[in-house]
Amino acid sequence: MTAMAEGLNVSRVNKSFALKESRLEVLRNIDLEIATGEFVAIIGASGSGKTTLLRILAGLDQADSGTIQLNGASVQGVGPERAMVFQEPRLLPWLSVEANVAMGLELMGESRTDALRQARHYLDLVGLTAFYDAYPRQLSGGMAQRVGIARGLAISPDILLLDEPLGALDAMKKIRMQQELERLWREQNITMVMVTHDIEEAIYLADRIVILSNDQKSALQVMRVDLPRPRQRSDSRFVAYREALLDTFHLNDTADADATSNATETTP
Amino acid sequence: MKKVATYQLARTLRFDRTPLPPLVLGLARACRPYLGRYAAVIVFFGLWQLASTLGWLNPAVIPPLDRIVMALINALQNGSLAGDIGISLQRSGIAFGASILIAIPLGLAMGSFRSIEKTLDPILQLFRQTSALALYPVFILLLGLGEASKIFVIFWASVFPLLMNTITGVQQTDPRLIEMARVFGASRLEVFRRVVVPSAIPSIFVGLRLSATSTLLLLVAAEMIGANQGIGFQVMNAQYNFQTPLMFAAIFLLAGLGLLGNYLLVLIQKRLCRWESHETA
Ligand SMILES: Nc1ncnc2c1ncn2[C@@H]1O[C@H](COP(=O)(O)OP(=O)(O)O)[C@@H](O)[C@H]1O
Ligand SMILES: [Mg+2]
Repeated sequence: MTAMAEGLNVSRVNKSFALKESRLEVLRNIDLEIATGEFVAIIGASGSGKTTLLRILAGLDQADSGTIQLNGASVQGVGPERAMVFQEPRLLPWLSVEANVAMGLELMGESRTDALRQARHYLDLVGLTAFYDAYPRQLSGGMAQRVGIARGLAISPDILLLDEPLGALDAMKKIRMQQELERLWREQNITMVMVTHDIEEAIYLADRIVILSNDQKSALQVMRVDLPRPRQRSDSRFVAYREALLDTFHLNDTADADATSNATETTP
Repeated sequence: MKKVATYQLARTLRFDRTPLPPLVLGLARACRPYLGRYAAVIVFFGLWQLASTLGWLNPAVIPPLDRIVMALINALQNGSLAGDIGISLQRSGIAFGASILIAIPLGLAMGSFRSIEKTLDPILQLFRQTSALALYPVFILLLGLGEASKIFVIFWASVFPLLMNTITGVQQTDPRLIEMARVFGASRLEVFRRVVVPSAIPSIFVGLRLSATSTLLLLVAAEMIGANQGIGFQVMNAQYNFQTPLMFAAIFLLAGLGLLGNYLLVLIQKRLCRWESHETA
């Protein structure tokens, strides 16, 4: 694989877990190149290894083999250039909202006052100006997830990794948060890699959609979404992408890596 | 409707028709929630007083409350209990303090390091299950009949609840929060300081309150068995001398000490864990 100097380069990554008597192969020879500033969505059935891939990118898990490079440098373990937004908000319940967001900055060596000042800035960005002093348990699920996003953005990472961040939200909140995520991505000029099981969410947000399948023998499928932003869910081309993606899932067994380009061509 | 009824009841109780001053009404209203909460206590003490003054109970055994209170006030005023209160506070204070100093750091270490826990747990379980009172004679043989053995037996009983709850608190830390801190670059020490310790605090306070209860229990036991000073000693001493009001005064003092200790711990916990008491959205 040729190494790109810019962006994130995942090359031949394998990962399996030891079960009682066998090994569970979860990721097999994953190759993926993500350009700086790109928005990539990872979709796939549950158990297909989406979280595992994201955790490897974050440095929380180690791949069995393969390399991951960020802007040409090999990635080992966790690092401040990669931030993570978890599926559950994972806020520290004993810290105020602003202190939660500031924690990452403090861990990077910023003074408490500086960290808090920047934390408030990012809370403003996610629309939580009125909640600096609130405690996590006073927040709704959507608000808590925004704090998680603010906390990730606050350390100014090159890449924000998001693991189904909107999975627990109701339909209305979800759509609002998708709009907000897109705005943040645009304004912050940041690379986002987001795991989702929501096909519409992926089409709405992503430049490219990576499809992980449970079937280890087929390679990663990638679909580019060529739609102007902000995208309209009712747009006929949006609908066509959705159909194509659904097809991809139904036709998992026969589809190969090229199904992606086929899929886009099926646009009516 | 209810308010009117209360008002009328208040007026009836005053046996006259003059309107009640607002202060009295306000006071009554302010007391109402407590009235409900402490109704059982009030009724208990009321019955006590009544039963004793009317001779339903032998006042030589269960004196009326006013005589107990008088005995308490007298003893406090003429200072005859001061030495006992002082020595009891000292014994329990040193033992409880030692428990805190040993159990919390040890518990944090045992909760954090599996190897330390595995090594120490069997022996601690053995110690913990052995009644402190059963060991008191051993402590007396080892440390003499003086202060050391008393303090040690109190310490023995109070250290384990705190230790066990500290360990539990540490082990119950949400691993997802630890992982989150790690992703944001927290070192092991930072994870411990920023995640593990704060999340163990509620459990540590449970331990502190259990430990305080044990402290008081063993304080009294130790003072009853082999002491010539202390509130617990005074309970026994007053009983020997048929000074039942003084005996009850000392018992009340012990109860008050327990309540005060618990109240202080709750107060500190509320200050430290303000996040717990906040309303949810
Ligand atoms: N630490 C682990 N140990 C063993 N099996 C694991 C572990 N983590 C994930 N798995 C398994 O790997 C597979 C992929 O998991 P995951 O990446 O969480 O899937 P997804 O996020 O796509 O739902 C699942 O079958 C899961 O049970
Ligand atoms: Mg997952």
